[in-house]
Amino acid sequence: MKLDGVYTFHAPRQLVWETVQDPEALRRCIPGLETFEPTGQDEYAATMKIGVGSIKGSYRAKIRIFDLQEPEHYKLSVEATGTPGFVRGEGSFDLVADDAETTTLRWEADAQIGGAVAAVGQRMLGGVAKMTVGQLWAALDAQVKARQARG
Amino acid sequence: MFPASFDYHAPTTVPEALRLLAENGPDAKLLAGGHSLLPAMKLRLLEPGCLVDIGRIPELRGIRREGQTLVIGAATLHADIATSDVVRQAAPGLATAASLIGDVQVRNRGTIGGSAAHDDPAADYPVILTALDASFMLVSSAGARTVASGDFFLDYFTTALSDLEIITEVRIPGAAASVTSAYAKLEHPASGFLVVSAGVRIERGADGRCRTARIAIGGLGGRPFRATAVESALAGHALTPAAIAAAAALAADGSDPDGDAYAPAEYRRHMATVYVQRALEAAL
Repeated sequence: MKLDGVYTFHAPRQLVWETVQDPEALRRCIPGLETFEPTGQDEYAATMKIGVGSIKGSYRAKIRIFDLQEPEHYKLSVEATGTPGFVRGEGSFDLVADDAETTTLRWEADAQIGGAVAAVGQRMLGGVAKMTVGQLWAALDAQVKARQARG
Repeated sequence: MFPASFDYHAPTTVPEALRLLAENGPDAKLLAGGHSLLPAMKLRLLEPGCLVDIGRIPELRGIRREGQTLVIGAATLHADIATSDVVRQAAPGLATAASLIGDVQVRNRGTIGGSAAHDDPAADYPVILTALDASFMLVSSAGARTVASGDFFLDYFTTALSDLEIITEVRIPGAAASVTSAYAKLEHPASGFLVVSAGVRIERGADGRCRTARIAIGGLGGRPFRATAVESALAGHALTPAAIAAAAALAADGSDPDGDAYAPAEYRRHMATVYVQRALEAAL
């Protein structure tokens, strides 16, 4: 399943970069995250509840951030397994500075989803995935704003 | 295909059900007809520790008129709504939508409140209830509140209902001779779920022209899509075949559907036009 999207932050690119790379900010912002521990350089182990509304599954995930080109590009891979199925995917993220105070984040991802969740949820996986990613950006946006307010 | 073990309670009053919900916390789920919840539990997509069965609470069932408002108890079955003369007269689009849900077994067990609370993006009730400007009576131990359909259905499987609330009634205004409604649905051939559907509610003036129109479309995203462009195009106009076709052509304006292997986005947008036109023709 291929997905893509765009999110606009009203903040300088460097600040957006620092926020989306900060493990503490990610820990607070990834929807459904329960634990998030570094296991190496740019590698994390996480447990998370992913899903939508009342239908959520528990997953153990390995997250790796790579291909870092500060402050404009990074990639992220996720391997998650849980009771309702598995998710494997890789995402590519590009930050474009539209002006000094506006940053556009473009992302595209290719994910494989299997197990019961894919069998019954196939007709809406794309929409649900986009909604979840949207929640992530909105939460990170709040972190960016909080940092701006602190100066 | 066995669910994880769970406790089961079958209260006979709403206050008792609310007490059980509060006592068991987030581990508790309400069970109504169970035609979405139980399959999810058997697939282990959900493993609630406690089910509170509200399908045996008499006060949650029934269909009645209160003046120009149609009031339907939340645990009323799809089959009862589909065959009710009161519903057919007051909100024919709702009776049609209920008659098209799933199969006979589903319609004889599933409930309007359960379907609304589950809020499957391919379910029929969210679409027609949005078109009908329905509102939901939600009760918790803290009191009752009424939420309009536009504020209730939020996104994929996401509603304004909190974990500690129960839907008691669905209230549909405008049961009058000047108001009519209809529902038209493109079904997925395997699942029976909607691919695209349209609910329309038309209020006509004394001159026969359309006074107001409310149109909701399913299958274009995580919540029913209000086709405001069609609504504006119809308001104040005579409902001629040409006017209906011209307005229906605007059905998907402003929508941003996600396509899938069965129904790409462009197909969904085109079907929105086709089914809005069919629903409008059926309403007249």
